[in-house]
Amino acid sequence: MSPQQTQPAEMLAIDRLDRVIHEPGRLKIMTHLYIVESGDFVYLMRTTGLTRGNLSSHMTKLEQVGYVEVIKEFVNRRPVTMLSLTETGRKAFQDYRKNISLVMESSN
Amino acid sequence: MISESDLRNAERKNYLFYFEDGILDIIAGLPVLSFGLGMVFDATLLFIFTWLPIILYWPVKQAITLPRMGYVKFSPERQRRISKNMVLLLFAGSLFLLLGIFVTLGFEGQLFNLRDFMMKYSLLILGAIMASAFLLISILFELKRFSGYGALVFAAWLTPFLFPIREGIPVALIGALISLIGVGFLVRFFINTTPPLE
Repeated sequence: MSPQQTQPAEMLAIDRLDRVIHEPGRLKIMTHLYIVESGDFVYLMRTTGLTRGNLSSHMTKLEQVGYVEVIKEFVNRRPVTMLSLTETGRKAFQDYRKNISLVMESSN
Repeated sequence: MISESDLRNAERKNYLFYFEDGILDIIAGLPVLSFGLGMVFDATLLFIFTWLPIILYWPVKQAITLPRMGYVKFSPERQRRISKNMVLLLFAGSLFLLLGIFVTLGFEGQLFNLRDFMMKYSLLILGAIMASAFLLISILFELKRFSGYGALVFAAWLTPFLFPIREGIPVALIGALISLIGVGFLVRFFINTTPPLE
């Protein structure tokens, strides 16, 4: 019998949790980007409560794993850096939600 | 938790937060105020200004709200709803403008002698139309407080039928009240939000 077979279901779900998303700061970013199409830095600072430096470092991490993309565009003739979730990021967030629900359900 | 309903609520809260600046309240109250003042002072020119605040809405929003709240593109579903709402609101606004012109011409006796007719019951019709505009905003933008404003506006138009008060005064007062509530929201908004440093 393999060690995985002996583990309870919630433990397996915990193992499957995406560690990149599981960090509270990044989870906030992912959640707030998931509910919109895209938002700029100010939007994310306001909704997540993170500082510019913190947000920046989390965004770098999320960009490295391909969950977030940066889009430069003009809004009312002003350059704005918009951030949005990639398809991979959306899928990863959905999987994370599924797994965390499994963990919560099985622990109840 | 991050259930489907939690996310929907968060999205809705996010969207509604963009109206916590009170600008829409100020903009919506000003036409009512100018309409009321126009009636009180028989200054038909004031009716023209009912349209002006609507034109100012977006530039003011861009100057005050967006630097503090950030730019956001809502979900495609929400964006579709906003576009649809904007068209409907523009239609309602145009209807409101036409109504203003109609009333102005009627008061001046250029179209027909509307004054006699107005003195009877048509004020209630006007009130109902104005209140409907507020109700429309309430439904379209999901802003419950605008239903309350609509009720107040209708009550303002109804008051001269019940009490010996000159028509126009209650309308102007309610318009001023709505705008003042907006100013209150705006002050709170300024206190709670500051544009982040670059």
